[in-house]
Amino acid sequence: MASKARKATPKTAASVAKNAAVATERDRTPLCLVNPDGSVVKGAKLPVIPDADLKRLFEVMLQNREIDERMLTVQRQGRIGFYMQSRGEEGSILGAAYATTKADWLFLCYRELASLLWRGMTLQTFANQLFGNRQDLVKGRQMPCHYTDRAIGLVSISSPVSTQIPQAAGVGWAMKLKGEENVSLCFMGEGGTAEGDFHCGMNFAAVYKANVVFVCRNNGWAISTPAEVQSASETFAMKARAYGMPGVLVDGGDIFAMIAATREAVERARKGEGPTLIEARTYRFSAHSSSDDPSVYRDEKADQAKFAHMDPLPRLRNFLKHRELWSQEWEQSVVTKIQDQLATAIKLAETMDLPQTETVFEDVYKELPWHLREEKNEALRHKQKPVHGVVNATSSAKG
Amino acid sequence: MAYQFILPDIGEGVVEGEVVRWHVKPGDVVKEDQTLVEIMTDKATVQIPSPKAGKVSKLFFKEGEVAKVGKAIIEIDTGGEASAPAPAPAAEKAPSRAPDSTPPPQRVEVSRTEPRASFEATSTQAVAQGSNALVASTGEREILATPAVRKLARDEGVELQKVAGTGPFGRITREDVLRQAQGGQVISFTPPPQAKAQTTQTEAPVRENVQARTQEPRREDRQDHRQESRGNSRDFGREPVREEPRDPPPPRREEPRRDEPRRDEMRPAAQQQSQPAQAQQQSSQLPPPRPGQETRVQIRGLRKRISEKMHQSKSTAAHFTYVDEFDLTDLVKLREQVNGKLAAQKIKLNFLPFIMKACVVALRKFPAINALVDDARGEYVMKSDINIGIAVQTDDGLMVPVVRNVDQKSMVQLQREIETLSEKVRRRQATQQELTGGSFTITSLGALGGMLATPVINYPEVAILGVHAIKKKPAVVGEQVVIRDLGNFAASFDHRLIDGYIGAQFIAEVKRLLEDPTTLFLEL
Repeated sequence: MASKARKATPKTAASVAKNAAVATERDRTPLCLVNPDGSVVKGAKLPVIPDADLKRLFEVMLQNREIDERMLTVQRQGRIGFYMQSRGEEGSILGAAYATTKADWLFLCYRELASLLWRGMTLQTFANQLFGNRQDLVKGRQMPCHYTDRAIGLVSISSPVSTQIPQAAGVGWAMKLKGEENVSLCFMGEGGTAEGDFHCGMNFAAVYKANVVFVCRNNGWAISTPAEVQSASETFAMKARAYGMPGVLVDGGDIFAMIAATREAVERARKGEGPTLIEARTYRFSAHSSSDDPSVYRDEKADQAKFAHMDPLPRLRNFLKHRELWSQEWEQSVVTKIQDQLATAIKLAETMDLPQTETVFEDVYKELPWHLREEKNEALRHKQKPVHGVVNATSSAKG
Repeated sequence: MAYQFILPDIGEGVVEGEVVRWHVKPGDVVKEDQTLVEIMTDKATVQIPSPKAGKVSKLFFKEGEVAKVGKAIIEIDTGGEASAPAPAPAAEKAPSRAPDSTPPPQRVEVSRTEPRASFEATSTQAVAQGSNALVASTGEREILATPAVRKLARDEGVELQKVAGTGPFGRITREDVLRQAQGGQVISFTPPPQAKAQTTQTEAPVRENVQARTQEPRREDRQDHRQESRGNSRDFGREPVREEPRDPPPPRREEPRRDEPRRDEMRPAAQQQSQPAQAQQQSSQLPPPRPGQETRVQIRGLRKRISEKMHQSKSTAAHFTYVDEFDLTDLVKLREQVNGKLAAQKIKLNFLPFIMKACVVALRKFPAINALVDDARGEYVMKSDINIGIAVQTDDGLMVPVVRNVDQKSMVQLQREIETLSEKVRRRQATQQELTGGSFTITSLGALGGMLATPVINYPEVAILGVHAIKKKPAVVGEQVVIRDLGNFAASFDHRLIDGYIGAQFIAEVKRLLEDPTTLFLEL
């Protein structure tokens, strides 16, 4: 030992510091099981997924994309106030969701519609939230896309970046304390890792070996901030190491790799072995939101072509073709069906009354304190303005 | 049927957009979702798809022009659709939303009547008045005020309905409430019945006395600025003058649960007959509750200030009370003589000016007692001016007007000032100046004075002198029991700053001076 050490290159503070920040080849290589052309990577062992599930996953991906297209149009028509698409990320989100069950709590960033569709949130619940109508589960109080749905284990989404991370860690710890085997699945964007909450949540979860799986959707852009300037780490998965938890970099375009990585992480968490950070490397093909115009800060045409191979939809389609599980008619029927269902849901959601004014005063106090009672009475004395801010828009969208 | 597409807010708070390019022109037939126009906002350039199918009849903006969000930008003749049964006018179908062709809602729309019977009744008037609900109909004025201001108004017993807001859109500001609270003009304590609608603003000046003293000295400057409008109280207004609170506090559990329990049960009949000023009376002045009932009165206004002040004093200052019996026989005689001489001037000194003068001499010897404590800064503030507060009982509670520079005034001046101040306080006409700035307090219970009380320090002062009744009692003089005029003096000190020895010395000094009033004159 002693002689070996002497022979090795002498360590210096500078060399140690230099090496510490460098990613190894392993760190840099995303887990990939299925190639963009749908072929299985040589030597890769695919996770076990029944054919029916494979088809269903593809369906949800298609549905997600159709819904996104439609809702952006509806937003542009001024019928809803806001929308966020997730094109290019459906696969990684869906893969992670597939590896969990409804008993596992969901803490979302905001772009994870695919996980909700997979868990069975109804289109009507979805549309009601976007229109903020009387049936909206959050009573029109949240921006569109900030869903909540207890029935599928979804904790209400909040806009402030990364607040869900410590919450997920806390819930995961509670699960552990109660001896439960379920986990909390927490999504964040790569931009969210720059928040203090990321540190708190990761540290806490690791220290207490909480039942959590963190999924960092690295889609390359935090609105207009590119991932390269978001962090000095070469990968986001690497950050896990310093917290004392496994970090896995996954090709987010490969739903199989995503399922495999998440299943492992969920298993670890269920066994009480603590959290995992999964970095799903994807590309955000769409704008950040309906308020964003990416052409201002990136070369849209070039990028769409450059990252096309990262799109999970064609990759899964190719795989299904290899397995002879896909047909053009089937895909078309799925699309037509979702379009019809969505149109019905939108129509109903749009014609439904807006939340009653008095609901604004509900859900915080069991008995209203005096000042809120005063406000409530005054609000009721006014003839209402609708609660949600899409008045002009809805008027134009009638009929 | 003509359909106007109104430019929506396409990007979270966008107010306008430039028409970059029209994708359609008048006469074109468009399908639903077909791109109509490209709009450039300060956030993004977006393509707007048509929500309707039809024939373009009119473009309201040229390329390069800026369209406001909420304005119609294009008109589409939806033609055949109009006759179809499905798309009824929006106003009928969903009354909560504006009809198709209506220009964007101004602020509140007449048409946007919610079909809800529950509050239909309460709001009929406002609706009937039409579009501008900000200034609603008869009587009931709409109120714009933040929760903090509402809280303040509630604490001050100010009815927001009666406050004119000076903020944006008539919003009621903190200053508006305070102005109302301090009354602006002084109005007689018991208003004539006609005054009922215009709630009478009576003032409770002591309150500020009580409170202002808690504030560090430099705040007094700021208060003085506000004086100019001559109202006295800055932070505290009158005792609540409200016949019925707009929003009564929730009934407590033990009260019978009925719809309007308070008004019947809690308020004496007199108050219900709009005698606002009397509604504020102390609980002790309320008629006793009916058998089996109890009377609950919100602690507010002056009573609340007193309550807070007393609690603050007792929970902050480390009170100790020192009592001694004074033989005031000589003082009683002296006072009789003096008053005999003053009779021509129609003025009569009572004991207080003598006691105040004795305190002046003693406070000069023990300057540590003529002081304030500034707990917020951990400082002990000794005062050069000798300003003595005198406790006065009013109908609404205890008030403490301040006689300034007691050392520089003659006894006659002091007597006059005591009388004036007491009267002003009882009439609630005292100014803030007259209610603040004390450095020591004397509380005299007069003829009622009993034998012994433990006065509560007028915090942040550090000492208070309580004067009890002066009575003829047996006393030992030399080896004999004789009848003398004896009175007990009880003084409380903040033991954190005033040691027992100092307090005792101070009282001994006052005693020496009052028992032999000639020395008092020598040392003044």
